[in-house]
Amino acid sequence: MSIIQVTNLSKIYQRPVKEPGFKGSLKALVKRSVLQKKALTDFNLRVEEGELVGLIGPNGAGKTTLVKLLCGIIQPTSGSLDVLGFKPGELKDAFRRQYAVVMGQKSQLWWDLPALDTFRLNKEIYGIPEEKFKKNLHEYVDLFGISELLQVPVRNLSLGERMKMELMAALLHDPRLIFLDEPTIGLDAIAQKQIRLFLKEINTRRQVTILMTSHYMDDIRHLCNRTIVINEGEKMYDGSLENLLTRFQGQRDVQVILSEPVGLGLNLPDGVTCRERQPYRLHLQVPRSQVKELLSSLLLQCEMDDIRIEDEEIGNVIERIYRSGREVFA
Amino acid sequence: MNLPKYAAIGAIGMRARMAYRFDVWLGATMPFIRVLLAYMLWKALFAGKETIAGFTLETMTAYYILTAFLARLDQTNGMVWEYAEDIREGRFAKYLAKPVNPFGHFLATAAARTLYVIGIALGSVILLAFLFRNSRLLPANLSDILYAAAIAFLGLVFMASLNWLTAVLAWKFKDITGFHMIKGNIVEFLAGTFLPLALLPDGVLHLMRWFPFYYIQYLPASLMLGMNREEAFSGLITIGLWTIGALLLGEWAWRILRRQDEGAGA
Repeated sequence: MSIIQVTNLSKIYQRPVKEPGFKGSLKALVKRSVLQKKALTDFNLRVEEGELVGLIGPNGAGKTTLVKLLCGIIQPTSGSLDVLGFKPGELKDAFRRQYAVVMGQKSQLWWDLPALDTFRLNKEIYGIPEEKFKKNLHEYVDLFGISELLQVPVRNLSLGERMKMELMAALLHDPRLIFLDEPTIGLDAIAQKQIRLFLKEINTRRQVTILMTSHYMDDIRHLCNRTIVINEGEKMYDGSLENLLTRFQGQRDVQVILSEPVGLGLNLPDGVTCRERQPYRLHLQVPRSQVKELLSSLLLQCEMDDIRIEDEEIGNVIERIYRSGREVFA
Repeated sequence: MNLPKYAAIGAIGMRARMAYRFDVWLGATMPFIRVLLAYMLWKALFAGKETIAGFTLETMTAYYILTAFLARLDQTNGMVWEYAEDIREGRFAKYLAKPVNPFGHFLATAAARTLYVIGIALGSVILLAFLFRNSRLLPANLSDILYAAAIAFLGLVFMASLNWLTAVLAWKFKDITGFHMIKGNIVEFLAGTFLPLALLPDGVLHLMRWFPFYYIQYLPASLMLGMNREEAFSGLITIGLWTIGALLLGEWAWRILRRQDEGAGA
């Protein structure tokens, strides 16, 4: 049974536009022009219970719009939505009790009070029995190891600590579905890793369905068994990250440490791109099929101390997909 | 409506208000400033006169002490800025994504802030009454107190509905600053915060009885002073009808306008 079913969903925003300067401000007083911005176009999606789906796309691609539509926060222009058997826009309490949303840049915690106060408030709002509340709280506190921070006012917590509290606040009522909008944004590597482990644990142990957006490819790589690439409001890819990479990670990164400096006369085979050239170091990008040819050429031309061959960074692959647009999937 | 849920919302709002001690103590001094200024002005105006528009200097001072207290009870005027900004900045989602009624949330927060103000300002009122040795602050009969309390309560609910309506207009107009400020100034004048409405011409006063603002501060304060007793029952009905109308209008506007949310920050 699908937990999310989206059919031909479209969202068009009406954005006011104003010419710059004083004249533009005066004109806008009399007549305001409106620009129509297509945030989502004929979007289709089906998510099964227990899946962990990653939504990736550049800024303005429509990821957050999709999350807001699925939560019922904004209304679609056309198309149909079914989330947990409800129409999200109706904002039924029975629907809102079954999901949680965490927006990385918008907090639900009470700024001047300890996070425990927000947790207790959520206990009342969601009608969580005392026993279940205590059990969940202890479990999440143990997973994050933050028991000493529960009574510290939120304003005195670090960004990473705050995000952990946001996640706890969102999960205390045992939602079946969680929407995460950039949950690791701005966090250091350690905090990112802790949050990823936590989410993986929640998904595996409790079978909670997670739909997350992220700009960090590490989030998607470590967490999601399904990746959706979205650009300019349209779905470009829906499948595993491995398949996406097999198809588009056609390049290898080759880093060479040289024993002696090479001049400008180094001849590289056609198709090889030099990303960085220093007297003792070369960073090259080469099509998979030409790696052997490149190595032979380098061995003939220079003395090497070390060589490292790696897959192309995922971020670069995705960036190339965004730039290329739909034709790469044609 | 699940009352424990809204009680918890109110309670956390109250705890958040108490986070800053300076603000707490400043709030307690507010009635003093208003009453002292009014006392100095009216003492000069009463020079050589026993009464003005039926008020003695003692009842006039008592009137200002009471309206200073009643004016502080409506905390929704300040909440309009917070909610309108949440709507404009796309933060209103925090109310929509949880199983709470946003207007219920607004009312619960307002009720908690009002209770908090009662706690802070009631002490100031008692102290002011003692300082001015004002015996008129102790009404003669229980029915006056009950009518005044009921009318003042409905007045607070009316103002909460009106301010909720103002806040949700932010979905339509984005910036409601001008509208809210003009509305605030008109309400302060029509409610009798600046001047007892008895000073206005009879025709104007008669007209004002048809509007809700007359019942927000002026009539409850008058009843507490043993004045305008004949208006108590009709006043209760009038403000009751206005309150029902404002509640329905606020609910209708919220249902229509929230659908215009363009998802700021999306």
